[in-house]
Amino acid sequence: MSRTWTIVKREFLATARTKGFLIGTLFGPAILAGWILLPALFADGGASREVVVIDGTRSGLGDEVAAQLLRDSQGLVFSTRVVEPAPGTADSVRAAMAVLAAGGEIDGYVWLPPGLPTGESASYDARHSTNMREVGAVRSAVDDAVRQARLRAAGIDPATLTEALRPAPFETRGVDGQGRGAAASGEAMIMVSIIAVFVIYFVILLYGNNVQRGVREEKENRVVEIVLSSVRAEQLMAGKVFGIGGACLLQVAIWVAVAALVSAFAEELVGSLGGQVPSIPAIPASAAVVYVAFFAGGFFLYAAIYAALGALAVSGQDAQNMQFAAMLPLMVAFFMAFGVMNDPEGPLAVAGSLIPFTSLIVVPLRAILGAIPWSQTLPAAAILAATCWATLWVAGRIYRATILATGQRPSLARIWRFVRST
Amino acid sequence: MSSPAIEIRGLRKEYGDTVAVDGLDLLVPRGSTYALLGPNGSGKTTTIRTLLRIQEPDAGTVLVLGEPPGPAVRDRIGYLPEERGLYPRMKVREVLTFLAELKGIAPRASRPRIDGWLERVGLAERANDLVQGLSKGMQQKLQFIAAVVHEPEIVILDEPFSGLDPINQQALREIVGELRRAERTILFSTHIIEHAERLCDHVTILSRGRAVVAGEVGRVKREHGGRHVGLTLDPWTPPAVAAVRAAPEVARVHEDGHALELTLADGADPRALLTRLVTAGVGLVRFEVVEPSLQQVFIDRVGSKPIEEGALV
Repeated sequence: MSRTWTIVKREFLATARTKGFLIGTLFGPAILAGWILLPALFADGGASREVVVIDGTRSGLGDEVAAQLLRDSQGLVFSTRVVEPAPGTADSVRAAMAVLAAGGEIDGYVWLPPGLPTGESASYDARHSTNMREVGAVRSAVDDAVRQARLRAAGIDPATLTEALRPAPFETRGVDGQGRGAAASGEAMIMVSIIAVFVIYFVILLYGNNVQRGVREEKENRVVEIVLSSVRAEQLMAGKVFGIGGACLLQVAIWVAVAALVSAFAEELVGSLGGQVPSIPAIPASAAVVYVAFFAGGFFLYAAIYAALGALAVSGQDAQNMQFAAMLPLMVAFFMAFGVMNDPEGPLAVAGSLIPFTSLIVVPLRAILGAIPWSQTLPAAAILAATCWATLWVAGRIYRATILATGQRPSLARIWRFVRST
Repeated sequence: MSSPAIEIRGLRKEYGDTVAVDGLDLLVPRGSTYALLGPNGSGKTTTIRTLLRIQEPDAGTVLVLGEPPGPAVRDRIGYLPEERGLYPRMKVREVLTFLAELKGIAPRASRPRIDGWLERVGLAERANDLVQGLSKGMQQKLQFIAAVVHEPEIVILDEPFSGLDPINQQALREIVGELRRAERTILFSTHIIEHAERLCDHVTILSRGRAVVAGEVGRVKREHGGRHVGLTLDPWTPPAVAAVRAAPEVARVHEDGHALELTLADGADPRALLTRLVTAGVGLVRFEVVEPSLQQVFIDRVGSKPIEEGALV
């Protein structure tokens, strides 16, 4: 055991000291922070727009549009002037406004043609015509003003109609095992679940590749023979899997810690920038435990497969070709997760929980969604643990049989004979 | 009486349809310097891997220091493999500390030993450099240190001189001499017979996975003696060499400049050969019955059976 521990230490340090690890450790939280903060930072919040409304209807519609722009400015600050051109002068007024916009004295002008209430098209000529928030605010303001004008023309009080059409308050909430409504919305919980699934999928993919590459490099540069004169191949493989796995878990722990810090301060920070933070639901402690346990079990399961594939490979190209054998079940688990989100207690979810190659994603997902009873979690954990042990055992023997082989990959029949004979 | 350092009986190892080692017996006495000679593909490396339990034998028994080669015994063996490599992105001292720890030496205990060895082989100033920054010869020195830093009772050196320049070859020979004086058992695997002859007191010659010659070097030579004649021609002429080659007493001729080393045919009398050459007018300044070199023994026992290079491991 102590020799395995020596290898675990070496592999851990060899992984955790690389630039790739450092970059990955920083990059993960950066993605998370960016997801929360960047939309607010890049939203152009608080920018001012000077807009002229040319009211060709001469019916007060321009004032309505200006008032509406002030009411719902979508984070921008509009300053408006309304011009009602004398009959026959609209074109010259528009031309003059176009000159002012081109010179930067105004940001744009809205043209409300005389036939607007009956179907003629309004227009907005602007310097920032691709700014979706600005264009959206103007379109919405024109829309509302015209709708209200039509209602008044039909003898309907717009305020009465608005009140009648106001949406009923509605929110989606998860229910925990005790029948209490969870604080966070169902949508937010789905978002957290997707992130959790992505983290498992990508981390296993990334570090599984690391394990395979490490084995292959050890084999290619022949250091493996010196090491094998001191420890058994199974010990070397286990040390590699657990050492690289430890570095992986450290990185994820750092990500989680940073995520917790960001979420603690995100509301204040983003609020100061004029943005809104999506509400982050609290994950029950039991779900967190299930998540960590299945993540770790799944990691070791797939890492053992990657290690065996690395030992089998006789060249870099060969290793790449064989990666698919590990990636396929992982991808199935990943895509299965989206079906499980729609029906987390359905037959797909139950089957996915009991298959060890998919349970590493399906069970934590259902736990976060509060949709798996312990009567399914515990057997799933037992099956995953047993499969993990059996895979490490078989992979260790494949490792021993093939780690020194060069030239031609041994046949499956020969590998099977070796696995059975030791 | 203590058990032999290494005792192998009836060892057999196959790779698919190829027999790498075929019923090998090998007895390496404690404190001996033992040469395992053989052409490429004769089964040397497979034998070594089996006694280190890097590979499992298909049949036969292997005892090292009187025990099957389990973890405890393996700590008492140092190994320099033929196909050498180190972790390129580790530092020099780190990689040696790691390999010593795998042999059961804690970092605190291995540090002074490692520093001493680095000093001795002229790499003390490179202790904190990455391995990948060292030349091939320097890396080979590190691998040698890794093989001896835990002060093993048995040191196995597989082609230790390959890749070393003459100065470093001499330095390595001196260290091996020290290990001999310290009564360590040294197992040399090599196909360079000169090294084996100069350093070893015992030898086994392998051919196609079988031992064709085994025993003390002196005894092996004596057993093959009486059949070898050394002679020097004066003047050296092509007709004189042709006359030597044509003599019915001569089975094989090895030429080295004006000197020839002859292997006599079975039952041939060296005196009859001398008479024949003098009668034929071949000018001789030396004619002596000599003890054969290991090279000659090797060629006699293996040379007539060509081995395909790299056929086996």
